[in-house]
Amino acid sequence: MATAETGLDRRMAAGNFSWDFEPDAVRARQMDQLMRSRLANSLRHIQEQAGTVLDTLPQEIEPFLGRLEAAPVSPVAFSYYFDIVLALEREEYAEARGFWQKLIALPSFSGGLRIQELVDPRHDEAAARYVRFFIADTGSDFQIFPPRPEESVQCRALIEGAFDLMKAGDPALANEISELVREITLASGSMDPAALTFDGSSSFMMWGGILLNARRGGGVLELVQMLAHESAHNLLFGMTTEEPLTLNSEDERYQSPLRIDPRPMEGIYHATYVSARMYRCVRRLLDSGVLDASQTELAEKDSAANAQFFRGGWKVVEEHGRLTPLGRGLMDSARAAMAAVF
Amino acid sequence: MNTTTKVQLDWKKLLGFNLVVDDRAQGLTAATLVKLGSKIGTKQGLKIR
Repeated sequence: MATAETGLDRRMAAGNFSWDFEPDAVRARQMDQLMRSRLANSLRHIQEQAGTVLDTLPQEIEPFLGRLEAAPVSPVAFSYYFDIVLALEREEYAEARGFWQKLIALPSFSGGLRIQELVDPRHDEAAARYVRFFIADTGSDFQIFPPRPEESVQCRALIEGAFDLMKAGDPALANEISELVREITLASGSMDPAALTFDGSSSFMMWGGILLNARRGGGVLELVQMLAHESAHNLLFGMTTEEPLTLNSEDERYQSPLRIDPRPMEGIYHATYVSARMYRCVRRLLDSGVLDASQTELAEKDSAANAQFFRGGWKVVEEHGRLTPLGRGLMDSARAAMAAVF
Repeated sequence: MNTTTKVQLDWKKLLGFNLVVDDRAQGLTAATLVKLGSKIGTKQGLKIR
């Protein structure tokens, strides 16, 4: 047993996780531990190099680093870290100091999945941080608002229903999501039918958090797919602490299976992989017999759409993607799991 | 005027930034946000094609 644990620890330390497509709660838990350990080591390096300008002694940040390594933390911790490094790079030391103090004051994050409502980002610094990090890949055309109370109540009920459905029909996914996702923030998109809006968002820089559009409509089955989608983004983020998925230039743009706007290859890779995870969870629910008649009808339709998204994305990735060994291994694993739709 | 010596960080020791270390000369922020930034599903793209 000790040998096996040592082997696991060594693989985990190298970020060398199984590329298996199936959900795996143990892998997800190790991934979260690795991300926090990597963050703690990064912060120690920052303290060594910048302790003077950040005005802290090593012993002053150790209590936070201890909490960070011992238990899950708010996704906000990761965003502060990225802000600190970028502020140091710009030589904005007072700004970096402010982020640093907020980071090391963060408490542990216990009690399982946290669901919260976005408050008005125009008047709340924390909410503005969420918006800034969750919509970072766009020209900021997305409009994000606090959810209305009735939207929030409904969405919370749907989330609870989605977990109940997954526990009944796809417990492996429910367990993996519980390890990967620490916080769901509910927001609302624009009411303007012509506006670009969103269903959900994830970010490496907000590890463990997802943003959901509480106004997105749909029922429990749609929300299960959204959770499968966003948690799969987090899974890929956790896989890529040492190596990216693709080597394409960020200037290159290709048609994405899930977005109307042309996307960089890394984004298309993500979209393709998460489509396969959405397909997988819908098929599991269908096969488990937990869906009622109307859900079954919708599931068959969504299953076909998810398969189409995957085929379309996979073709683009195969034609234009310059994949790393990690990217190749994960995509081949997804492709093998999707063999039935080719 | 800022007279503090610029902090030198080893980017290979920094979570996330180790992936974009080669992009520093092109503008770290933009490169970082593309490679590490958010993945947004849009309603038009996802359900209303």
